Amino acid sequence: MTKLKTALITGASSGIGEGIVRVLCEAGLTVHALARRAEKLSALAKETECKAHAADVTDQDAMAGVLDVVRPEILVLNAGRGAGFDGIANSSPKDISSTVATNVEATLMLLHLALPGMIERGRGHIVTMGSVAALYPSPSALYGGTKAAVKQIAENLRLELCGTGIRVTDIRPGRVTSEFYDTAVDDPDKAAAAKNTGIRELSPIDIGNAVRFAVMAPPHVNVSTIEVQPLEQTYGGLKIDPVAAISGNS
Amino acid sequence: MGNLASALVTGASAGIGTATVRALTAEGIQVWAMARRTDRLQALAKETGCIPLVADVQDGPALDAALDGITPDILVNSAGLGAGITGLLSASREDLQTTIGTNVTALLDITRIVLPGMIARKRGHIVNIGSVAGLYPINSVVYGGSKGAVHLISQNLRLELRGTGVRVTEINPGRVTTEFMEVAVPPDAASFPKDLPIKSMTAEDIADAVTYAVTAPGHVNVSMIEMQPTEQSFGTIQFDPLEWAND
Repeated sequence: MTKLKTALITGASSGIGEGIVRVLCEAGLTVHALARRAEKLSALAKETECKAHAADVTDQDAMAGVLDVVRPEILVLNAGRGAGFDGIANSSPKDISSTVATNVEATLMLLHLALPGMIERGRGHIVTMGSVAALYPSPSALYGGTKAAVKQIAENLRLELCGTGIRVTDIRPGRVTSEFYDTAVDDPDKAAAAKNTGIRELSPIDIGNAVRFAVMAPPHVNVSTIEVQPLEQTYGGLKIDPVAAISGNS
Repeated sequence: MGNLASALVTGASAGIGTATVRALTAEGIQVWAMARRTDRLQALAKETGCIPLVADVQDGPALDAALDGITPDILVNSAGLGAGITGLLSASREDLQTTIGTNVTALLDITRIVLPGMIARKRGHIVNIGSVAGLYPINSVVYGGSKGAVHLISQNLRLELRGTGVRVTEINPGRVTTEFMEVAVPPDAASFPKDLPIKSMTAEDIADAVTYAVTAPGHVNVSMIEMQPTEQSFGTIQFDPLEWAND
């Protein structure tokens, strides 16, 4: 397997996706950037010389068309959506279905469309965008649930693809500064509070560098997981909330 | 980060440890290379400019003295072995003590000794070499058990060190070509898959991951890297009918 040269990145018009486009372009790869927002993509294309594909990852026909033309060696399944941070009890049915459609269903559908070509050509690299929310309990059943699905998809895919030479990497970032929380939390005050962590967060370029480390590894090495988080962020601990009816305390 | 200027690497006389010493000295980091084998450490010192530190990670009472005055910004806990890797039933009590003693107790002990200095200097990075055997059930009770401990030690250490600025990274490799299997597998265990018909990773591949994590910008903690040969994966399901239980 020679070094892989062509990459398709979904969710490329902003945030982590845009960071990955910038880093991989700088690394000398031919980069195809896919997202819904044509204007943002063409500005990015002008700046980085990536090729713009304005399309919706949940539109299966559109995706089949793009993959027919692009035939990527590296597929970065980055498009993702956050919702349900107010709790599943308060989430709208639309939030639930659109989050699952983007984070899980579109990921599986793109794999279904892209893998036969990769297997036939005998080379390929799938990069999924997971999250630390897939690994540690955090108060979002919806978002963390979809990212845990991505984690298991990546791990099972590695077994499905063993013997094909295709690599699978799952990147699991902690807090990254992006537009994510603008759309993830409906209430503007709560969104502002969720965004204000007071720490030095990761930048989309930091995640781009993790993708580059995995993609540039020698062909015999599969960097299967990178978990990366701000130095000032950790996960875990215990929560104790007495319920009067049970312990008599409150 | 730029300001992490020195490192202590355990298990430095072979394999991943040696490759890590080479990689970090090449980055301009001053490295204390710790292992038992004096001749190998001296050769490595001549080659890389590292400072040899002859000590046994399992020799608890001597460790405090051996590490007195050693003030690394980075600790790479690479010393590890796989006595008893062929199975719990074929392992001796000594195998268990050696593997847990080196992979778990010594890792905790050395980390305990160097951490206060890192916290006081407000900079530090602990890098633990774990294993995919600590993450997936791959039929490795003793070794995998010890590396599973390293996995949770790393995750909990990150919580214990909240607010100190000390980073914690675990690197969990699959099959690497080193002396590991030669040492771990007894000569009479002929059926154990010591050699694989694939292109395994090299110690240098793992050292590249250590370099990536320790040279990340100061606000970034590359907390876990799992890496394996492209030709290796973990899992599948086993069905083993018990003929004698069928009535």
